Amino acid sequence: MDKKRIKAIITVNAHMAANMFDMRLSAPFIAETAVAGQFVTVYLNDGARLLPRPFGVCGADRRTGEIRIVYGVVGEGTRVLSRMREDDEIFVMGPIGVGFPTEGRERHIIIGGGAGIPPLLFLCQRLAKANAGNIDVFLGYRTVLTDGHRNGAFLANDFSEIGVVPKIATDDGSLGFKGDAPSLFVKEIEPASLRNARVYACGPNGMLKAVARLARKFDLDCFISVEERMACGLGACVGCVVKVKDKGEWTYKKVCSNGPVFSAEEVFFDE
Amino acid sequence: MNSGVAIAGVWFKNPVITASGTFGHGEEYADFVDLNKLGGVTVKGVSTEPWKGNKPPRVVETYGGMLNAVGLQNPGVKAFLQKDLPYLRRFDTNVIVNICGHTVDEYAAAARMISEAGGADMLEVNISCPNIQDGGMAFGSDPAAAARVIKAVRETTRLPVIAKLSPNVTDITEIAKAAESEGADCISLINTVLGMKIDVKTKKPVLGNVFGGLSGPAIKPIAVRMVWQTARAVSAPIIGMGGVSDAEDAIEFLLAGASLVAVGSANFFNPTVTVEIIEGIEKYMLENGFSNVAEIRAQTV
Repeated sequence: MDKKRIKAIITVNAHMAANMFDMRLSAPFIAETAVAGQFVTVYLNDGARLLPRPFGVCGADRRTGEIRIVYGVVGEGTRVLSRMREDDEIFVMGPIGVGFPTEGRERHIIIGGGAGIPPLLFLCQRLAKANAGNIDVFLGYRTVLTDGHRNGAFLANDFSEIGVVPKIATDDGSLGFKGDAPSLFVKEIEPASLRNARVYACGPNGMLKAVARLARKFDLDCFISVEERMACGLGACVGCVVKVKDKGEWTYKKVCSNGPVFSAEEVFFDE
Repeated sequence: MNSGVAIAGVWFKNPVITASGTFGHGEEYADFVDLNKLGGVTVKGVSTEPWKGNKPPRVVETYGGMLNAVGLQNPGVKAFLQKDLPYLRRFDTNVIVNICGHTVDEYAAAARMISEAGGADMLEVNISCPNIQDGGMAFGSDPAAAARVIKAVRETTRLPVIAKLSPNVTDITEIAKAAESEGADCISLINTVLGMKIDVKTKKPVLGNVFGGLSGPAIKPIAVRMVWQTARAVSAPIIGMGGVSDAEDAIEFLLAGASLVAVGSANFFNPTVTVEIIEGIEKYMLENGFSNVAEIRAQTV
C-alpha cells in the first residue's frame, strides 16, 4: 500500500494525435516506485468535477523524477486536464494497484487497443530494459484519420524507439491490417513460436475477451488490465468491480486494489 | 478550548467521524490519515452473511457530486470481526459498526454477533440504503417499519444504537421520532439522495442498478435542512452528514443542530480532508471564543 498523494508539476501537456494528449508530471516518488501496469489518479481541482481520474502509467523515469500519462479527451474532466499548462500544479496519487508480472518468461506478446495502449508502452520499456527476451507488440486503433487528416498511430513510434516495432491494426484499414489487434496476432504469429510465452493485454472489453479466448486456445499465460468506472481509487468505496471466479463460484473484486491487472483465466466476461 | 463531544455515553475527542461506505474499515486511508486523530470511524456496512453487491458500473460522477449503487457488497460479519475490526481497534478512535439486512431478523442477528464479539463502540443501523432490493430504504421510508428494526436491534444489544435515516421520504422527522421512541440513542442523517444518470451517447442508464444514491456537495443544502428539522423534532443527539467537504460545511451542520459531523464522499475527493476539517473546526472555535462544540450548536437553538 505504498502510495502517496503529491502535488506534481506538469512539465509537458502536449496534443498528440486526434484527441490524445501526452502529459508528463514531475512526481519523483511515483517515478521511483511505479511498476508496469500500475496507475495514478489525477485530481482536477474543479468543484464540479470532484472524483480523481485514473490513468495507467505510460512511463516513469527514475533519473528525471517524471511520470508520463497519455490520455484521450473523452469528457469534461479530461477536457479540463487538456487545458492545463506547463508549470501548473496538480495533485496526483500513486502508484496504485497490482501491475503486470514481468519475470519468469522469455517470450512476450503485448496486445493493446486504443486508450489501453499507454500502460503497455511502460511494460515494453521495462521488459526491454531487463533483457527479458523476445517481445512482439500488436496495437489496434479505430482509425488514424481525423477530419480527413492522417495522423500517426499514437505511441507506435515510442515502441519502435525501444527496438520493438509494433504491428498495427485499424478498424477501418486506414493503416496496417484492417481489423483488431487480436485478429492481427492470429494472422501473424507462428503457433510453434509461442512456447512458454506470456500475453499482456489492455484495451476495450471486447478485445480483452478475444485475447483471453486466444490465450486459452494456445494455452498461454495471460494477464489483462481491466477498466471500470472508479471513485476513490483506494479500495474504500467498492465502486470499480470486475466479476471473477472464486472457488467454483464468482465474486466481485476491486479493479483499483485487487487489479487493474488480473490473470485472464480469473475474469468473467459475461457483463 | 476542547473540541470533544460526548453522545450516548461515548466520548469523541472531536466532532468529526467518517461516514459509512466512504472510508472502508480505515486501513484503506492509513497511508493518508493518522486514524488516531479522528473522532471516530464508521465502517462500511456489514451483514450477517457476505453480500455480492450490484453489477457494475456502480459509480459515476455528476455535477458537484457522484452517484453510487454499490449495493452494500461486504464480506459478512465473521470476516469483518476476524480481519477488519482488529485492525481498526489498534487506533485510539471510536469504532461505529454500520449494520444492514434484508429482514428485521438479519439486522438483529448482525447486531447480536457484533455485540457479543466486543470491540465496537456504537452500532449504526442502516435503514436508508437506496441500492438494495429488500431492506435498507424500504425500512427507513415507513415509520412503523423503521420502528420494528430499531426495536429488534435495541433488544439484542447494550451498545448505543444510531438510526441512519434516508432523505427519500416525505417527512424525515416522522421516521426520526419512530426510531427514537423504540430506543435509538442517536439519529444520523442523511444517507444519499436517490438519483439517476443517462448516457446520451449510448442512450442508456449509466449505473448497472439504474438508480443510485447522490452524494457530495450537491446534496449539502438538503442535508442541512433535514438536520435542522430533525434536531427540532427529537431530543436524541444527531450526527449530521451530506456533502461535508471542509470545516465551514461541518460548522454549518453543528449550527443546524448536529452533535457530530460525518465526512463521506469528500474522502474520495481528498483523502486527507477529515484531518483538515478537524483542524479547521478547532481554529474556528479559537477565533470565535467557543470553549466547546455544544456552544456552537447553541447559537441557533
